[in-house]
Amino acid sequence: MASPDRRIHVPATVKRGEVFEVRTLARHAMESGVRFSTDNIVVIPRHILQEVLGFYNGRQVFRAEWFSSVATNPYLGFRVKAVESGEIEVVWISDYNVRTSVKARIEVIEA
Amino acid sequence: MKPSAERKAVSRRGVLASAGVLMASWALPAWAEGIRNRVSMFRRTFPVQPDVADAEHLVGIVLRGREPVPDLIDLKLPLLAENGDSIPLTFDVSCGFEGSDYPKTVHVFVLGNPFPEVARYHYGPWNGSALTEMRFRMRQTSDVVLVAEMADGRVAMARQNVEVLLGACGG
Repeated sequence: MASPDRRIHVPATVKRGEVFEVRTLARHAMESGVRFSTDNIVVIPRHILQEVLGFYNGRQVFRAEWFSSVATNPYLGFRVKAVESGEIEVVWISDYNVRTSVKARIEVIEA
Repeated sequence: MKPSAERKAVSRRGVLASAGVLMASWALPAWAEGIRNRVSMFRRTFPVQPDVADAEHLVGIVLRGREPVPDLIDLKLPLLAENGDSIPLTFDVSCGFEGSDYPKTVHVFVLGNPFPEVARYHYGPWNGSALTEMRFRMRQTSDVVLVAEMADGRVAMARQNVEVLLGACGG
């Protein structure tokens, strides 16, 4: 499920064996579950993205577990080593088990 | 199959079962409360006061008595943050990413937050580098602790104090 609130950036071309950066940005309130509502009576329920998965040609290469303290609109950058041309997919899983994902194409050129 | 009858049976049993689970969670001993409140994966919706000693205990649970290797984690954090809502963190683990010389898991802790565990990152030899960037919230001035569990059983730790002028209300 692609969503306009999820963004990914990878370099268009990388050399084989080179480590490249996958930068992702999700637009999400990341409600921490410790804040009171404005009338100070009820605690706003926790609603965060609790897991981020990175796939390279369908194979899982990265996993992040997030907890209450991750900032609003979480930015995440991680590195993957280039093996072959293909697709980078990043999946976010929320507290309510809603999966959102984005894909990006990467071309591997011979060094 | 009669949907109405089934629904009735499920709801009755479901209510009883969930009541039982609730009772069981109330009956936890006092020492388990802190661990349950701060570590567990379930959705935590209750205000907790930050407890630095408890957070140190959490770091100790991850270390499991192993002696951390110094100078393995390269930590990039601001020394002073005007706003605790979004503090950029960049870290790298200096290792070869060959054989078992790579970090399996990197834990990020902020000791002064109500839930001190911020994130866990899992890597494999296919990453080539553990350089990772993220942003987190901080409630108050406190230490940020990173613990990297290497695949060969070593543990690396890095610690830096961050001064927060205006803390995030969440955390």
